Amino acid sequence: MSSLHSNTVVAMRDTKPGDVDGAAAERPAAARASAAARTPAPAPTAVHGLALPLLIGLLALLVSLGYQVWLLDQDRQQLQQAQAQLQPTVENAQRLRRSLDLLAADTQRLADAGNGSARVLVEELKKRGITINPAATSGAAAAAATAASGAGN
Amino acid sequence: MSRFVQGLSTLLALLALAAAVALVGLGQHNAAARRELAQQQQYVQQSVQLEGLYREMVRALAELSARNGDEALRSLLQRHGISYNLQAPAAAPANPPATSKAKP
Repeated sequence: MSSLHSNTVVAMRDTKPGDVDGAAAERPAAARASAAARTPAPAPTAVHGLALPLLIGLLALLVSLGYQVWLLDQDRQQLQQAQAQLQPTVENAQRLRRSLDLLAADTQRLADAGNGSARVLVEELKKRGITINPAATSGAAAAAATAASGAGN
Repeated sequence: MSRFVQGLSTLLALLALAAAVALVGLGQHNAAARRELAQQQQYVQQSVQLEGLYREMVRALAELSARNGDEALRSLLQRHGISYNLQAPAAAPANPPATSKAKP
């Protein structure tokens, strides 16, 4: 309240006696206009100022992620190639294991039936810590025989 | 201009999101593939050791069959596609051992 009084007094000192009423009415409006001009920029201006850095950052992120995706895709292709190259070896190994299982199971059955030679072999394997699982069916022996002959050739 | 910038930003952000999702998916896929490959390599390495055992077994069976004239063993080997030939030694001792050559 006191500052309002002092402003009014100063204004009255600067103006001529005849202008007192009109100038006093205009001055607060001009002050309000200049104060409005000094306020911070409105929201759209701030967005525009941030748009370019944001765009550049997004672009950098996208390029970085895209490059990593490309690298991982290359990695995936190499892994697929390695698996494809290893596949025949794995199939041979499976065939070999099946043949071994069937041969061992048949030998065990022969030993159980009283064959002396088979029993010698089974005992020898037992000494080495190898126990035979006779659960392997001899029905697949024909397939194993084919596989074994194929592997032998 | 403002709309254009906003649209471009949204598009880039969506592309970045898609790339991040693809990155995670590919990473998991590759990790699984790498594990599977390592298991297969281990399987093959173990099978190489078993191949030696298989050959030894076949040789032993063939030798026992030839030495004892065991027809049951011989037919067992034949069922598995394995045949052998007896080779008579050059200088025959008093009690010649039967040497066999197994052909798995």
